Amino acid sequence: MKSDPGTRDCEPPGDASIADLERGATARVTRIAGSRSVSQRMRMLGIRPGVDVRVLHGPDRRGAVLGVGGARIALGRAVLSTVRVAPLEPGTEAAERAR
Amino acid sequence: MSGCHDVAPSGSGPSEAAPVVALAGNPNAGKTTLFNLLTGANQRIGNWPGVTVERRLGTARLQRTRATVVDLPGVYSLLGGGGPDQEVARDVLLDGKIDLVIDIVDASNLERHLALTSELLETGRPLLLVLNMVDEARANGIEPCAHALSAAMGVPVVPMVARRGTGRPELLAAIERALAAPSRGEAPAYPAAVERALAALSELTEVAAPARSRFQALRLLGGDEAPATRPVAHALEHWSSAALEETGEDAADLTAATRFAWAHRLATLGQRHGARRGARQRVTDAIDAVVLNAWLGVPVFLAVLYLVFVLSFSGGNILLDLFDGASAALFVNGSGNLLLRAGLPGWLVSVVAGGAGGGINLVATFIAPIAITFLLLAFLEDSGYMARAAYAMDRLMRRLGLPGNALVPMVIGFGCNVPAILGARVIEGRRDRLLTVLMQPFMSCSARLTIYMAFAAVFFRGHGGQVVFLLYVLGIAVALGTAWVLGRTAVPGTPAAFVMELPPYRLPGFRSVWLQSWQRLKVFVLRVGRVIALIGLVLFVLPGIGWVDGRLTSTDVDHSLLAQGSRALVPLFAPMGMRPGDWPAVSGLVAGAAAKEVVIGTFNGIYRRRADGTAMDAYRHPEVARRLRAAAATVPANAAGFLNGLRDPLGLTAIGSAGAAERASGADSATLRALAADFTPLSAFSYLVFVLLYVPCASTVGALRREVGWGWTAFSAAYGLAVAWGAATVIYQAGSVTLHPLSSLLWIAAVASAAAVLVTGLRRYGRRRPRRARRAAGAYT
Repeated sequence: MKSDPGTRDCEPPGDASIADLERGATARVTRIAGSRSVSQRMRMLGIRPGVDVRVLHGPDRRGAVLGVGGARIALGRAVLSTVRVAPLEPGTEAAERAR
Repeated sequence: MSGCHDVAPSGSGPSEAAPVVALAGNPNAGKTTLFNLLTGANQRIGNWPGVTVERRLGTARLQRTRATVVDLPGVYSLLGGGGPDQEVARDVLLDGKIDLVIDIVDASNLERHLALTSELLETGRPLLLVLNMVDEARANGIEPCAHALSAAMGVPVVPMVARRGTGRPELLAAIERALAAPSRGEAPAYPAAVERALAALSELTEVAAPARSRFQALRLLGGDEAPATRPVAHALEHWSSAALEETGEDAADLTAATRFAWAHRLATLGQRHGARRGARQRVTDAIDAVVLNAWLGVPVFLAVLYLVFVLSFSGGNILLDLFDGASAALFVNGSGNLLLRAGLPGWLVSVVAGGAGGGINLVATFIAPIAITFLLLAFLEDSGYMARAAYAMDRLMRRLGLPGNALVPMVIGFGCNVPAILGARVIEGRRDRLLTVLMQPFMSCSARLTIYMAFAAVFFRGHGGQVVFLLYVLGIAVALGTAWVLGRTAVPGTPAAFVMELPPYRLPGFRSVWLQSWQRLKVFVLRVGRVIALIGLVLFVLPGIGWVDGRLTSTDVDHSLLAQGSRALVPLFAPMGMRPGDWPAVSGLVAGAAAKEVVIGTFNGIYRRRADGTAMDAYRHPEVARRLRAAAATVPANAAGFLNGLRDPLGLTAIGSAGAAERASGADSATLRALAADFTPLSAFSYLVFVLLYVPCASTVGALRREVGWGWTAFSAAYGLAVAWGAATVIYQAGSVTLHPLSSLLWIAAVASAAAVLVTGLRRYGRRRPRRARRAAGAYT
């Protein structure tokens, strides 16, 4: 996977992880930072760059449950930070569709 | 299990002529429900050769022909990932002889499910798409359009609600048409540079099947697999850079992006979005708010566990005496009477009716509780809760070095260790799976409960419940402790990250739950039944023959081969309080190594042998009808007792009354009296601890061997024996420390130093094989 140049030094205001989101928030996945096996597993379950997700449960000490497409995917606490996202403004069309 | 291996995955075998239809799809897409809908009760369950992954084959009746239907394990991608169950599905889809693939997709989650469809189209196999759960999609405000999908993909699409049977006639007609005139559809088109690279790479792979070589090329190009040889690595580098030059993008990203873009485009075509968010989603949210709650999650899981216990044990008890009494009347007394009348000699009648018939009687006794356990587990599996339980327990399990989903097999292990080991196949990482499998033999299965019951009746009357509960807890503690120690010594590593789909809650269909548990019960009874009937036979003969005056001759029990052999072993058990007269208990342990159910059966065999005269009497006057009536009469009384059982999940009140516990254990009172003479409460408890922990039964050994190989199976058996001996010795010596303080302390110190040596050895093993350990840590997936 190609990393977009520049995100390391100066993160754009959109770059956050699932752990930074509030319950009910929607966001667009920008990249998966984890190991090969973790990112492959997430990709199979539909979590991949460009996809919109919604936090259905958590984030708490256990992890979080994301709504992706029509599915619910549970992520353990340890992998929350590997999913980099750009939060979607509530009320926008994209945010509404991710609900 | 001879019936399992002669049917190849390709579907050759009994219905050679019938075309083979394979059901493929993501986990939770509804494959098994559809399988049941297509085949009804006309199905066979076995294992895929070489792995303990359940294989279901069935026959579907079409209008003019029949088709063999294969239910494959759920798979997310043909490119890799997942446990051995997904590997099985991939092998069949890429290499198997299949006439039609039915791809089942969840209409409420179309885009992700279509990602697998795009790969299936690339295999070039005839394909038929089932758009399942259109009702759930509608409830979510999505209107699926089967026609648009079919037109865009070039394969037939059938909308269905498999759970309710909606769309079954349409599907059967579509299968018939697809078999007559297969359509292979149109796979997503990669950029020309990628196609050239794929063609060149698949030429280099040494695989015959075209689908297999193409997917190997895709894996190479996508970076899912490292090139095996230098020429392949060379070609990969050449073609990747060629593709990068031509398209300006990385080939690895391009292949995946092409498929996902295709899935996205098709999903947009195939559904119209409505406005409302469905009520079903809100119900799921509400239930999840409780069962996934940071504080309530664990208690809710324990409550569910408790319910499974209540219903399996107490519910099973309603019918336990019926099955016991009725099978004794028919297979022991009835068959004995028939054989006597047929003019067979008395000794042969004893062997067949008392040995084999008694064995069948023992299995039949357990049918009710085991059937209920299977029913409840099938219900739980279909309901969507188990994935939540795994998530809720993940944090706790992780502290012990295990992933949360290791918990699900442990729950199953309370019923029987074999399906528990089988259930570990869903765990992805090799290290995590190995640890989970090695824990299972310590989970106290229902077979061991019979032994506790018999001993509790004699020794722990007032506190029987607590003693049995303590044994269950001890089993769990040893299982978790084993994983904890091994995970820090022999197989170091960290548990794989928790990433798991939570399927929507569904009220499981009666038909699906019933069929699933019925098939499992059938396999269980036939397999275990054969073993126990055979062992019953052997155990009835062994106590009757002995080595006297230099030759083998018939003798009384106390001079039999069994007694001689068992007496020789007694000294080994002396540190846990066994005396030379306790040889029947040792015989029980030896027989119990084959199947724990037969420990009490062995006691019975030995003592029934002494009472052979009365047994003969029973064969002469079998009173089958009266015994059957008596057996039936136990049902209402036991049903009333069930209400008590709701407060007492393990059926422990039964232990309070000697008679009830005696019935529950299947031992007769002569056996129990003999036990009382041979044990003290302390040595009895030590014996029970030993029974709980020592070697896994023969069926469990078979499952272990298939899952983790002979090496770890041998380790499991030896480790179990050592832990059992150590724990039983420590308990007995600590309990009797006032009688002989010095020797007790020496024994305890000896066990402690042996444990230290074991841990050191395991640590050294883990260090000596760093490569193996790294691979086991999950790096290879």
